[in-house]
Amino acid sequence: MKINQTYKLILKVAARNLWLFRLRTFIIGSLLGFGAFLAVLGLSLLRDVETSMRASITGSVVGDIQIHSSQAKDDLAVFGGGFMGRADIGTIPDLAAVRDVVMKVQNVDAMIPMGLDMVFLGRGNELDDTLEALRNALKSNDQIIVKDRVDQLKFQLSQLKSEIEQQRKLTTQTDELDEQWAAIAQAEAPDFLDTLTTVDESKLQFLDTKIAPISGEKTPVYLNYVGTDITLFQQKFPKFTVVEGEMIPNGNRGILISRKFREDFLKVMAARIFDRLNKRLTKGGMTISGDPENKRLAADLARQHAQVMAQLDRQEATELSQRLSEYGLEPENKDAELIDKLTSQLKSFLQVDDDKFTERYKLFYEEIAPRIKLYEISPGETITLRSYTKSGYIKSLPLKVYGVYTFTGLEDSDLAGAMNILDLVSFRELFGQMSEASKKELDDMRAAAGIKELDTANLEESLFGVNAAPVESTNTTAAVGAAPTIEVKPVIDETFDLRENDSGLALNAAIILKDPRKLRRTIKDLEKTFKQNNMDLKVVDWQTAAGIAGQFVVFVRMALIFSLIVIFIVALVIINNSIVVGTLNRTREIGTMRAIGAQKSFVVGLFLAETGLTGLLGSIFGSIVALMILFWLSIKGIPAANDVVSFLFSGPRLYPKMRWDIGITAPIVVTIIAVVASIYAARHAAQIQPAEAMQEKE
Amino acid sequence: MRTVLTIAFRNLVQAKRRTLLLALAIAMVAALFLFLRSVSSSISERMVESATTLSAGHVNVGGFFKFRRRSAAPLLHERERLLKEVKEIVPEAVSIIDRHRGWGRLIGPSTSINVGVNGIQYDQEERFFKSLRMARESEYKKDGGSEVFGDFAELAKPNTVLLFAAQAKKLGVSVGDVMTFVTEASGGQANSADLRVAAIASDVGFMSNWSIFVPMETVLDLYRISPSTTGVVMVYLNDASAATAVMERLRTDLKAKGHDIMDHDPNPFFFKFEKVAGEDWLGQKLDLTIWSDEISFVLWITSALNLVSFFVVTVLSIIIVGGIINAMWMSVRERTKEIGTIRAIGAKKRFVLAMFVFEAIMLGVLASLVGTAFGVTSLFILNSIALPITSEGLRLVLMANTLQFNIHAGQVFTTVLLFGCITGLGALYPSIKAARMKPVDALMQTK
Repeated sequence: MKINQTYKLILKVAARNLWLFRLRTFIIGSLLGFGAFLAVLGLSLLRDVETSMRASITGSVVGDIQIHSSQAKDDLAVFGGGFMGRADIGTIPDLAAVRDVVMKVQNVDAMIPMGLDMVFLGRGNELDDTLEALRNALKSNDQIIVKDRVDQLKFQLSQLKSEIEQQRKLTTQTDELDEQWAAIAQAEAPDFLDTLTTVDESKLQFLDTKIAPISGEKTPVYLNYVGTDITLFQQKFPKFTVVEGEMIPNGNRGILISRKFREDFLKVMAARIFDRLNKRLTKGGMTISGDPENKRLAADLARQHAQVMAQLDRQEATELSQRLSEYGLEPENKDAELIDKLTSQLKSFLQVDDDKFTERYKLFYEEIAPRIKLYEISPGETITLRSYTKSGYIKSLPLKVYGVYTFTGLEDSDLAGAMNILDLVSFRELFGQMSEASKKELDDMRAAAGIKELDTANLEESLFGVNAAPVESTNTTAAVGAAPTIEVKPVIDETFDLRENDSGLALNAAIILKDPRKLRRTIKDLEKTFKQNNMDLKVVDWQTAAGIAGQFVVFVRMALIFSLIVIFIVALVIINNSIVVGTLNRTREIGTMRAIGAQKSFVVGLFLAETGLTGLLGSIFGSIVALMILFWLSIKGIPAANDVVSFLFSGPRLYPKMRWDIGITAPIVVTIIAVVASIYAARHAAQIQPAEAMQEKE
Repeated sequence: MRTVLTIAFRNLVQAKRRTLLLALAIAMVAALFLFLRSVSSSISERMVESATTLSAGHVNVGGFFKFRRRSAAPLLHERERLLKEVKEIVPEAVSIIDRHRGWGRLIGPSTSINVGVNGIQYDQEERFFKSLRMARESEYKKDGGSEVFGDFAELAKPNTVLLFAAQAKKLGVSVGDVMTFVTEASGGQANSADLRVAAIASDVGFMSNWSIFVPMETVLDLYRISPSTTGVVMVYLNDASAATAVMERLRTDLKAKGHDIMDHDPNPFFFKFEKVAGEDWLGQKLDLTIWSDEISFVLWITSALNLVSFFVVTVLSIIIVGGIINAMWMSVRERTKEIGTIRAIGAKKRFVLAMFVFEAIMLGVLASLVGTAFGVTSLFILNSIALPITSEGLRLVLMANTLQFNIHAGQVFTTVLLFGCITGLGALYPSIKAARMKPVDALMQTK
């Protein structure tokens, strides 16, 4: 009872003092309130970022935990580390044994074998397409179409000649250019193309082998992939969805292209710029005229007509020209040839400004996109992947594209969209590990060639020594004619034995947990199990496995917490300081209190109560304001201002949650810290002797 | 004036405890402030240094040659003419050099990495080699000693390569080893060259992971291109801030000399291939950039960091101002009688105001001097320890492999100045209040 009364008295006096020193209360209260405000807002947003990052990392490819060989020379970095190129993370030679052990560990739901790598996407050349169209026309025996195709080919030959002229300015290999020139001249000769009315194999072969390679390939594109047991992958990553085409049937070899990758790298450039501008204008709320980057994009767009033009055949071009005229885009010269007419129409079509953009964007997707090959790769096609093996040889693998996939809810995430997915057997081929079928074939060849024993390191060289044939090379970037390179073309079936998914080689494996909250414990359990079974395997959590991207979140968190700590320390020093100064001023008052019988503990209590009350009021206010802002943001969303931010947000907008736990904990913690920090000052005040205080002059 | 200062100083000395406490707080914040500034300026400086050492001049005359409609090569023909013209247009340049640029895979005994390859001419690159430091063996070899092997001058010989320590460590090679470099292209052809490691340099920030340097003729051989071509002409200036103006001058003057020039696109050249490939022209167009354009993909780090430090410093300043107002308020209350007395014996309002403000400024300046001294000392100690950074994310953000920061005298000076101003401003309101007090009221106050 007595104690209760004392407390009441302390609170009463404290409240009175706070009111008496209003300005000081206000300043200290706002400092603490500001601290609480920052803590609530910062920590909530950080947790939102972390949650969305975690979702995009664990929900796509990485899983909760990754395991790989502890013989690894590099760290596993699924989304890239500090160097470019393939990281050497060792191999898991026998999946079956590892799976047996892993699946026995508590809380493990599934183990998904994986092989990560980066390969080149073989990009076809323009002449190949034209020649195939010509061949088909010849087969159909429709002379009007044949004439059309031949005209197209003639046009391309004349372009090739101007290209060769350009190359002369750069290259040292003029002999090769002379040969190419001669070949074109031969094809352009009067009795060659004009008399081509039937399927004349000798002529077509000449075109295929001598002419087509001259046109070269496009700028190379790297393709990141993960080879995995696709059926299991689909089961265990529920966000995985095929959005176009179909899922790879069980036991078939094939590849699924990531939608984000396809949009960003394999789409017609004009469409990409349209998309980018559209995103910036609609979601970013910008204008073209008001932003230098948008202006630049618009200027770039206006130059991208050639690629669109090249994709149209005569009929489509006629239709499109008509449609564009209907929309009021008349060609400069109505009597001009179709190509010139349409080119001038496309040029003016691609010139966009703020007024025209929305209409043109819509028009592009309604009229132009359906008539051209919008994407370089579409489901149903077969693509060629080329990987450079360790010793620098090229392995190439044709692979059927079954579909385009995305992770639901992570459509815009750069991380989740980085990987294309192919089957485990194709991965092993590209990696240089042979499938059972290839192995057998090699054994047979070995027997035939009389080779007895080969170590694995020499496998590819020996294979290439026995099997490969020189392939005439073409060139892409600056090279003009290259040293003959030898491709290793594996001969494997379209389908494979499903048992290949369960055993054999992988580079790493994702582990999905039943309860992701028990991540740390499961990692320990796994490590223990591997040790007991003498398995050289390393266990890493999703954040580490993600590579630089995962570490980036750690960095952001460190930076935020560091700034919060700094701000708090400074605030506390200031607060402590003002309390001490405050006590100095109140020496007389304290002396009087002590003289009329107040205990030291009463004085200490009084001072602590003052800070406590100030802290509580201020920080609750700060926290409420922060929660209100969060509430507002959770409705409006925070737009990602640039690519880095949108990477952090895993999407174009972040919708923060109201975090009640942080909102309630922060004021309590702030108050406690403030009270603890003022203990020194309070004790100092309590030291004042009544007599001494009363004697003080002032 | 002198009287004001003397009184202010005397007041500070008299109120020992209060002065000390507040000084401590200000000193701490000043030290922190200096530290933050040093971190963010070190990163920017390193970024400029990395960029201008590794991949760009202050102004770059690069460009694309389209010998096919559907692709673009980062090549320029008529090298001699271009070099001559650039030299004519920018006579004030410190140095003008040219390099070839390529891309491929470097294959070491243990692993391989993808790198950009720079073809250099040894006798042009005095500036480059001056800014590099040879790596000690221990920087790239586990049990390596502190000796330095190799010689930059070896790069004058064909088929040699300059690596950076982190690359050598990853690839497992030392000076004198021979490794294979393969150009990678989707077409399937690969040209290769065997390169002897001539020297290993200490890392230049994080970006040196992505570049190697070889003699120019090696690049010409790899790509079978003629020696009359070049990749980029780099112009180094005395004053980096003049870069934009020089670029604009080059744009006008080169255009007048008959060159086709692309619109300014502030991105590195390797971002532009696809765009240029889609455009409808053959032949050559020049692409002019300044140093920051070539590293635009990491510039966000500096801007993010500046934003964070600006934010933290603003918050800290608010707190400090709050603290100062509070402390000065106390001091005014405490000395009401004194103020009354001074005013009663004829001191002007302005005198009282000046007295209090100077007291605060003096406190701020002295305390921040102590704080910055502390900050400088601790940075100095940190630099001499040179703690290695293990996290790669942190390495990327800090642009360095060891925890070391630069500090400039100017930063120390402006910090002290700023804190003097902040404390002075913080004291303004209570001081005005004090000065406005009527002498009678002040004297009457009992407390």
